[in-house]
Amino acid sequence: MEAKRDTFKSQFGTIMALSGMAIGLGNCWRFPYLCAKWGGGAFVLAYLVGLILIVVPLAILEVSVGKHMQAGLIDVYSAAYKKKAGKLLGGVASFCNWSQNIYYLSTVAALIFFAYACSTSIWKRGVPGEKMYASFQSNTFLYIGLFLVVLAVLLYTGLRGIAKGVEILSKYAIPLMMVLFVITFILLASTTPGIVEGLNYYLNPDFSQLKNPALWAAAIAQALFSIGVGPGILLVYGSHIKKNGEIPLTMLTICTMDTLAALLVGLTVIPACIAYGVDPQSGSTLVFLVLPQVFERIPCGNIIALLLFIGMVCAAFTSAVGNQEAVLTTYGDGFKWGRKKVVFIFGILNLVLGLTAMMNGKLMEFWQILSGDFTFLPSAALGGFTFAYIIGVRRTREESINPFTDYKLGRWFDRWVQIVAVPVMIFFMAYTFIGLF
Amino acid sequence: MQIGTIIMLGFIIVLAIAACVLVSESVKLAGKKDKEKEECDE
Repeated sequence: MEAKRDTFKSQFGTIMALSGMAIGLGNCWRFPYLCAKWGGGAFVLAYLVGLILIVVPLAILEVSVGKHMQAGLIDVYSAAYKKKAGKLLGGVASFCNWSQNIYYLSTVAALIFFAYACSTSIWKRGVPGEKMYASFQSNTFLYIGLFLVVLAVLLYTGLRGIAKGVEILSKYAIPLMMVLFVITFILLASTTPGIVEGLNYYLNPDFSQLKNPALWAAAIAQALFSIGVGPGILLVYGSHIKKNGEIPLTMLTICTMDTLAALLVGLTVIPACIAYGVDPQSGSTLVFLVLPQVFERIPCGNIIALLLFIGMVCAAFTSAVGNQEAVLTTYGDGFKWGRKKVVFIFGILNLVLGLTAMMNGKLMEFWQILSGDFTFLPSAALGGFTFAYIIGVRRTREESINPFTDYKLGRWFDRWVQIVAVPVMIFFMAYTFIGLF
Repeated sequence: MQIGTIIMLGFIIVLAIAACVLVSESVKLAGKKDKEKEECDE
């Protein structure tokens, strides 16, 4: 007899677990930095258009396919193509997506260090963010020690299963983080001179940028990357939703929460960069460079810093759990391996590859580029193509979406996904992919 | 502050309200479905 699948316990838990998976470091640094780079409000506009017209329909489709088939990427691709091709495509796509965790965990370790540093005496000495980050990385014992702790907790969460691990953590951490970013922004805006220039830089639309196809490609790729559409994470989370679970409204809620989180982080980070003279294009370490300066200046900064970094630790951690869960379910279902066996194999891989990357900056950069762009774009395009054309939108809509929702989708949804959403997504994915070389 | 910035700030506030409404609506809908299922089971 087949083992009973671990499912989310409540609708609120489902929303928060999926939001926890979607809201992560991509929201904390990538969105604000891209927003500032591509003309502020113009990027937000392109992002929202891409989100509503392309990403939300594809997210609804992917989660519904997962809920209907109750299986990981290997099984779904095996059903769509031949079994060997399914194992190869699903296995490789899932592994590449998981490889984000190789560098993700060291960033979670850095966030833990900053939570401690910003709330204690290190912060009071007024050490600049970049020096704090460098001192953390040069302290091998602390750097590796925290990485090992994070990895151990991640593996333990993997063993406990998705409902007990992610659902409980996400229910509290995600709302906490969003509320704290609002409080931080209000305190920042009321105490920092020059914040208006920063807000104008971040939000005032430069509409001339909308003529640039590269802006649209960047906005749509960011929306897909942020929600996690394509490479199988949403599919796996969908497979843990109860058979009678509601999808359209749930996914619209999650996409709204994810966008709101990204905008709120940007509200705190980008204007502060301008006010304190930090380059907003500093990349993945931006939050580490600018937030200590913010907390140094606002009232009760050390307490807010502690809570906010804990919230960010949880948000980044739940995204790491999402990446891990995708391989656990995909390989567990696809090769009929027990959960403990898959956790052990990927735990060893994460340990070895993570430690070697931490010791070698170029290796770390390699994994970031590989999982962030080079493999995400083709695997997202393959996922969209398979779910829309091979498995079929109509069948999914009629069997997995409409019987369980008050917001029923008509035949227009099939046509929209097959004629507009997937072709446009594949076009922009190919455009961005070619631009990488 | 420029007009575009004010509009965008207003949009973020609207988005925050929309997120709260959507979460509450989604939870309410799930509760309604569970109640209907219980009634059917009985």
